[in-house]
Amino acid sequence: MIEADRIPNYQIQGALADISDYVDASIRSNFSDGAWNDVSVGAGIYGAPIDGGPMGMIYRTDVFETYDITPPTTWAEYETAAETVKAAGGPLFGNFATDAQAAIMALQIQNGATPFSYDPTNPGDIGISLNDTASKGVLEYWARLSEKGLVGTTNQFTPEYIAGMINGDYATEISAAWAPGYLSGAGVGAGDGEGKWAAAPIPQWDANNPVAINWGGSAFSVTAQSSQPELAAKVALGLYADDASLTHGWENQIIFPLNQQVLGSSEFNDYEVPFFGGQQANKEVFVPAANAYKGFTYSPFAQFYYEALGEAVATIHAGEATASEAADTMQSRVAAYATEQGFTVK
Amino acid sequence: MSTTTKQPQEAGSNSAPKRKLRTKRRHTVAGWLFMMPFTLVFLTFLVAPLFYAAYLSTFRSALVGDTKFVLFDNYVKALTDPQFLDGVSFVLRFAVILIPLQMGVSLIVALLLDQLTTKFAKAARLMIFLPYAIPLVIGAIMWGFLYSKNFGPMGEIFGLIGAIPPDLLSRELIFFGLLNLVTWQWAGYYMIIIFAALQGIDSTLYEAARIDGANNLQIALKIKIPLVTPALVLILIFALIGTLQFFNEPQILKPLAAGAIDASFTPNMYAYQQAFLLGDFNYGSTISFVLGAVVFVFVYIFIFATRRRGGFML
Repeated sequence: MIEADRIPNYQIQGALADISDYVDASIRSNFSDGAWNDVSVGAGIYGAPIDGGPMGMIYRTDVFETYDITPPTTWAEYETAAETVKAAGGPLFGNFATDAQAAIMALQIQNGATPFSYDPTNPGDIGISLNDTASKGVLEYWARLSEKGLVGTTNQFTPEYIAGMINGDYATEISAAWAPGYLSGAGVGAGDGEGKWAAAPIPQWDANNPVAINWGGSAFSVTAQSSQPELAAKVALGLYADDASLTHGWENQIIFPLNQQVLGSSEFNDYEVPFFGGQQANKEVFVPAANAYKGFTYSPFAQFYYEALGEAVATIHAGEATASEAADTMQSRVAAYATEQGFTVK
Repeated sequence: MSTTTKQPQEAGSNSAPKRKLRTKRRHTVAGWLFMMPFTLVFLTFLVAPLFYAAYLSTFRSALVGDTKFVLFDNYVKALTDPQFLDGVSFVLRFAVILIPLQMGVSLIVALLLDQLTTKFAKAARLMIFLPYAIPLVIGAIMWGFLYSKNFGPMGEIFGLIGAIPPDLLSRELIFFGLLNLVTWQWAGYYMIIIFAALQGIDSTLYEAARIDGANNLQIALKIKIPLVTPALVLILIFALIGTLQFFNEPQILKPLAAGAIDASFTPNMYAYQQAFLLGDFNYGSTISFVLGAVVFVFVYIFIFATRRRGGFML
């Protein structure tokens, strides 16, 4: 099982087998184009899509009520709402972490950036664009919010952050469809916090041009070491292909299946998500986001890129660099690494 | 007129010299057989991987393109790599502050405990040794929680005097956060070593000194410390080797420290990142060897410096 954004990293090392031969028309129709894009590198398919992470904004209904906020639909509105809450003495509006790199990349793509352009038919060529206006804009936005004290700077996958969520230190979380599963497993939304969260579509940079984005999502890949790739592909494609497994997946494992039969079913859409106090979050937020999602092009060195991005955010937090400088540093670091690893950076 | 001649021996009989030779050979063989398990494990798990890593370090691999034989180019790259050099500079700075601190703390505590013979002293000895009994990883995780703003006691303690608690996991203070953690873990161990050495001092020396009119402090400075210098040198070398290879604590605190600790914070972490996170085993092996060379050089300097003088003779 592999997270979709790491597939190119393994594919370029020759670790994954191409299973496009085993994907027939009926299997292909079960997943959206965006889902297939995420597990493909060029024309080859290197994983069977299982679940995804269409992004949305989850927020505390009690905080929004107390401070009279309606869920913001654009990032400008988000900033205004954050300022309102802060001025009235409320909690932090959100969080800008160093360890949520995939989310930051998604927001940059939402703003129109294309961080990586990579085609494995020319495996030596790669386009890296991490410091263009759109990418810098996103980093500048969040740097401004954290400077003004509107959002926190805690690492997102730590007990510290979860404790903050339980305490009500954050009014919103820019999150994905797997959040209910992850957070409720960690203890958020239980006890006093029960039913206080709701989901809303993610704010947009341009209200006239909404872009759906994704964070995470896993696939079952067949390794190149497999001596029976056809059988392995059958298993990979078949594990979550039947109704019972899929239903168990979204009901009990709280994953967000990408299978169209689930996404189109009334059961899934009308499901009253307990974490959101019974809100039909799938119908309202996540299914439309999943269907509108076109897929991202991930880099073939996700590990290095995420670490460079985490470092960039850390320097912004420490005041050692402005967002613009941090983006420039990151661009040169990643480009240098790519060149050293034999790529030709376009 | 008696001559001693060797009795003519029949072949294969139990003559004295032959018996000795056979027994000696049997003992030699037995000795090697006893060594065999250890030797096999040693060769398989220490020597062979070292050679293999050395072999790997002479190649360079890349995500695009083949693995090339580059002989010592990797070593040149490591020695001019700013991330590696930063890591080395950090562990050296850390060692310079940590080792005197650790040795000072453990020496003072050992001297104090040697002075007292009450039950409290015994209990104190156990308690000071206890952190060493806690596995390193658990200790680091525990301190991660103690340092955290939400879970740790610092907020309350500093709140009592109305001050803001320092964030020992921040970029500015992470040095001290790690210093505190490592001293807590190792001071007990070093203390026991010094304490054992102190027990080995002949107590008549103390009597003689008391007759000469020395007080406790003078006894400690002029008699006890000089006589435990071999133990101190031993601790110094252990601490040096361990600190230059610093890995566990920063690696565990990395996710909690929100960017204060990066992947190349110490040379060992950098080697780990290169080999296991980025898949570049060749460069990772190179860094390990260069780090090993750095450790070897420093330990050799220290052993040489403390060889004749045997320590800090006053």
